[in-house]
Amino acid sequence: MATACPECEAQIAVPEQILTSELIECPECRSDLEVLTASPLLLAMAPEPEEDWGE
Amino acid sequence: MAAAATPVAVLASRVRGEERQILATFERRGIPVTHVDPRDLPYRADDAVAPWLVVLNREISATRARYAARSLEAAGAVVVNSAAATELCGDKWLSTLALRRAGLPMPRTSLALTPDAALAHIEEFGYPVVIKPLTSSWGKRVALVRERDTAQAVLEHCAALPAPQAHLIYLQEYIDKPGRDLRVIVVGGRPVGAVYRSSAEWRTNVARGAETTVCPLTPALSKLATDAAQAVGAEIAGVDLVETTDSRILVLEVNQGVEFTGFRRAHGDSEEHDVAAAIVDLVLARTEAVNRP
Repeated sequence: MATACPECEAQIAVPEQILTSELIECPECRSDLEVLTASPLLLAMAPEPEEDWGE
Repeated sequence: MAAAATPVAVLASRVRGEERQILATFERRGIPVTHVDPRDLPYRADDAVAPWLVVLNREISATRARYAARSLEAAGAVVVNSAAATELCGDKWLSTLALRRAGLPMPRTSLALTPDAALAHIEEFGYPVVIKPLTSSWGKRVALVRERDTAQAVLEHCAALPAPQAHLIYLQEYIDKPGRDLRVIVVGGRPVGAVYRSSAEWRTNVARGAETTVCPLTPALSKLATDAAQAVGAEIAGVDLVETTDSRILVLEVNQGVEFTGFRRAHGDSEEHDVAAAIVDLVLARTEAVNRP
């Protein structure tokens, strides 16, 4: 699958097995992107990590 | 809550490499599982039927993980890790008390209830000392303080933070470690393996870029890690340990939402050290226990 980066509009090849909520990086502009929905494929800029994120 | 499509759910608002591996392991074994974003669930006090028998809690936000776990347990689901373990591990002071209660070796640790009180504690402690936020992870806002002026500056920053909890100061003796610490992953009471985490900077979190290499899992290390996981009630635990210059091993903390990308990098695709497989085994065992009480 391919779609446009929401930041730089470069075409990004996304694996078929991509999952909703997965994080990917645009190979062109290095933006962190979030998969809003896997089908149909919809990407958005990933949110900044929140204070209580971690392990 | 809606009717269950599968007996097992994986709760995660972010799918990191770890969640992907866990979901792929379920799929490889032909076990249907539902990936759920906890932000999308309705949590109603008057709706006490959880849609799943067992929920694997992989939520990245400690706050959401805690409230989702409590709500789903109240609605009858078995949550792994339990809400109690999630709460305990999410608070460094409460988990320190639990580890101490179990008699486990730790660095000297103390809590000051105000930044002003902390300065007096620090002077009593001596320098260097480590100041940690009670609730953060990945080494965020953890400060190594070598002298009084820096201590005052760090404490002033803590005092300026809006959250009342940020004004509680967790202090720990600085352990002069050999450029590394240890992470043992324990799943269902079994140590899956251990890694050294090495870094040029004093914080050795993988999230801060630390390198991981295989650490031999000795019986002593296994026992210390499993005892630590048990002390906080975590069925899935990342136990952080540190070596002292006189060859003792101390427990630093236990992480309940363990990340294992660095661990996997060190161990490769070894079946014996497959954390995702161990987690799936645990979840299936819990599901079977629910089905056959």
